[in-house]
Amino acid sequence: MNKKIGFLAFAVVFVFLFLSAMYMHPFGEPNEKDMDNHFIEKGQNDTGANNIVTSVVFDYRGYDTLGEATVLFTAVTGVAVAFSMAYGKKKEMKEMSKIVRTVTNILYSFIIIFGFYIIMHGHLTPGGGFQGGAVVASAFALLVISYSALKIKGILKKENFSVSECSGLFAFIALAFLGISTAFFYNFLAGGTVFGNIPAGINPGDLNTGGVIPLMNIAVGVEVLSGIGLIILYMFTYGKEAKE
Amino acid sequence: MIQHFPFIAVVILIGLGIYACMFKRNLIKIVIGVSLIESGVNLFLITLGYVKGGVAPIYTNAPGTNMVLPTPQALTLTSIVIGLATTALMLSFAVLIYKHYSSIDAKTRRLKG
Amino acid sequence: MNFLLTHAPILIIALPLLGAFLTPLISRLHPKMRNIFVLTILIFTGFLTMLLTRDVLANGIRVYVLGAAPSTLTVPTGSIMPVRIILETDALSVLMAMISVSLAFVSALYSSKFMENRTGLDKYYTLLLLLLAGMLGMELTGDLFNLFVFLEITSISGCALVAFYTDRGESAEAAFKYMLIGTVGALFVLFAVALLYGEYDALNIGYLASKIQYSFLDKIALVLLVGAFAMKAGSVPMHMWKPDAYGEAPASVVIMLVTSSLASLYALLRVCFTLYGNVLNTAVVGWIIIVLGVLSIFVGVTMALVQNKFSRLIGYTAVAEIGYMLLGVGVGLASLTNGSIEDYGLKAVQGGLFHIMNDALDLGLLFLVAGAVFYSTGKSDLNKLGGLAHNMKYTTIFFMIGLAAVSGLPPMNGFASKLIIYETSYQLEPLGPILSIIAILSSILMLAVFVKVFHSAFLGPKLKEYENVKDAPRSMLIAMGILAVFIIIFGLFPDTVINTIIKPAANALIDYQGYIDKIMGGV
Repeated sequence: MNKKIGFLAFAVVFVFLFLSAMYMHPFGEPNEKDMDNHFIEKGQNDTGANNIVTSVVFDYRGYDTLGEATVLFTAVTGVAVAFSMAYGKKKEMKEMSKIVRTVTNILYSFIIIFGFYIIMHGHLTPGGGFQGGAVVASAFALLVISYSALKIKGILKKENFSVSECSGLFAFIALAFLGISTAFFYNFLAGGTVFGNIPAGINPGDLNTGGVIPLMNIAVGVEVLSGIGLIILYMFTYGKEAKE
Repeated sequence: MIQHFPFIAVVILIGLGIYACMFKRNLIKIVIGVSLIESGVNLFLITLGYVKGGVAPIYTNAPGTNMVLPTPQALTLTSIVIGLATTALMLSFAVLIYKHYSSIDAKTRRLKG
Repeated sequence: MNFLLTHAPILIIALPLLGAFLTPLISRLHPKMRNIFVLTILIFTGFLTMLLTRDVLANGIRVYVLGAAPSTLTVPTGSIMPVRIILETDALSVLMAMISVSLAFVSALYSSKFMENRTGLDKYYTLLLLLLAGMLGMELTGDLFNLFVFLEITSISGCALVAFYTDRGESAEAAFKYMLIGTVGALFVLFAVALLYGEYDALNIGYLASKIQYSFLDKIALVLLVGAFAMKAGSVPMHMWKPDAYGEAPASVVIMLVTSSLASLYALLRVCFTLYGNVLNTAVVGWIIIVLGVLSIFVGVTMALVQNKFSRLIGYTAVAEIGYMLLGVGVGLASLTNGSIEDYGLKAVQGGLFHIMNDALDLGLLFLVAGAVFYSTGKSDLNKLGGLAHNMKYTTIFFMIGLAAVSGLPPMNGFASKLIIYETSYQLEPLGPILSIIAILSSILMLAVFVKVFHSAFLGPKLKEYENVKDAPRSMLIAMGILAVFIIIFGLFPDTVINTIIKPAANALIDYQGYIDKIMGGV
């Protein structure tokens, strides 16, 4: 009886959504484009970044990005609360074979450098703080998997990650506060001296542009890499630990 | 019909996700269902912005100036990070439930009535 | 002072965020410093909220554009529509913001003693500040995607706080259920926002309200938004998470969870009245909301009769109280035709909004009393408690005040708001008297439920195991006292409260054209 009602409700919702898909505008021909035309035409002049998506994420809708970074911070805190109990015996996690460990030794520094390259060039090429931070965190995951989690505990410490996460997020909101004489999240460096050139039209890309956006990219990148690194460490190393 | 094909794919993904959420009993499968719904909504956001013949909205060595809409890509970026956060938290609650009840079946519960 | 006033909308949200980011660093110094830091941030936020309230009540809606050259430039030069995120605060937003900040302050004061013996408290206070920031972000914003992001912040921090007692399996289960329902609801909200964006290429609520037509896709978006926000507010048929989550979370957290479901109710009102204000088929949608409200009242009260656990019982009455708010607002919506509302409809909306304020105070006091009983005796099963009135005198008095307020007895505030709801729902055209009768009967049942609780927990002979039980510590008593004082004041002078704050809020809710004009510059 309960299952039948469930199936009926599911079928109703599915038909509902299917009808909405049929009534949408054809794929590739959006109805109106006023707001996005403003972003594409005036984006370079207002913000100084070549990558219009990054200028939307960090300048025009930067407040949403602050909310998103806060969501990641909240989730990391929630994971810390959930794993705060001392759990049973320490599970013995075996380390991987010699081949895997050798390849890891060579590769992990390149992955970290690649991640930082993506973070720094967020305003010129596809990328930015979030993407680059996730790449660097995957290097940490590689280290944790190929050496067993217990050997890594001496190198990757939770307290360091926690401090760097808080400082990255604090730097982000401080950059937003610095423009408050005009408005919160005002891009006060565009057209100035530090990171201040304004590009125009199609160009090969100059690192010295973007106003306050490259600094925000670095802050968010540090926060994301520490946050995801913390989640990885909490999930891999739960076992009886000394009380913090 | 063929011009709505990406939207139909979105609806199928979301439908599969809701099915897994509602009718599966293993907690991990329920989390996979939520992840499917997220992927469906992210796909929906991205396909909203496509312009026929458009290129990526980046001016560095761009092949032209007919660009796709940049706003849905920004919204999808935010949504993916939020999805990561909720999946991580739900999985850690599943681990906590396993620690207490030694099973991840959704039918073993103590809260009733 | 002018600087603070211009930037008040964003400072109200950014201060708790800043506090939350700094709390893990400050708590390495000393626990007392962390408590003082949190209370200071809350006092500053409360001060800014009162400043903003005074200004909005005197001068009308205030906008704040994030990142624009003067911060009130909504439509940039050379464009016909707003492109940045705009915070738009009208009288209803500041009413909800005042409720949220006051209850957060009471909760922080209460938890300084209630949670004293637990570890991991820096994460507790961080999550508390983040929950407050999420609620304030939802209540002050004028942008749909921003509403979704802060809805997620509220939902995730609420879930993490529900699971705070990690040594009990039931908490983890309640948290998982709450998180599942919260995430699926928020994803439906995102789907609806994407639908609206795909049609009109805009995310600003004011701009969308001026452009919206009632096409098929808009109807689907309306159904998804109303369904998802009703799910997060906890009305039937998606109410099952409420008794679980309210029963398992620490008492000082539950008072914030109550406020967060009120914030979701605010978002529902914003969507129905402002976003779709121009084109809504008010009779149909109004009656659907009325039906949801009446079902919630009925189910909530009947399930509360059979509960044994103290806070779970109050959780079911919370479901019923949301029903009263939906009933009041639904009657107002159903009597709204062509932008002009009947007299009793406006009073119904005022009753619903007044009940939002009263319900936060009443349920808050009841949950804090349940927490005080748990703190002193260590038990929460009603069958095992008894005779506590001998030892815990102040707590008993507070419970009597809360009982009278929730059941709608004079001279408490619950009586004033419920009376307005009874009167106005009686006047609705078909079936009005039946709604009124159901509401009155449920109030009487609720009185019966709470008298039973009072008898079994507080009255009766002194039990042997509770001989050395002392009353709650002083800071917890002060926190409960603040709520009790407000309940009595609002009960004795309802007219002053309604004329000062509730009437402007109801007028701002109905007046969607004023909301649009502030964004589009009066074109």
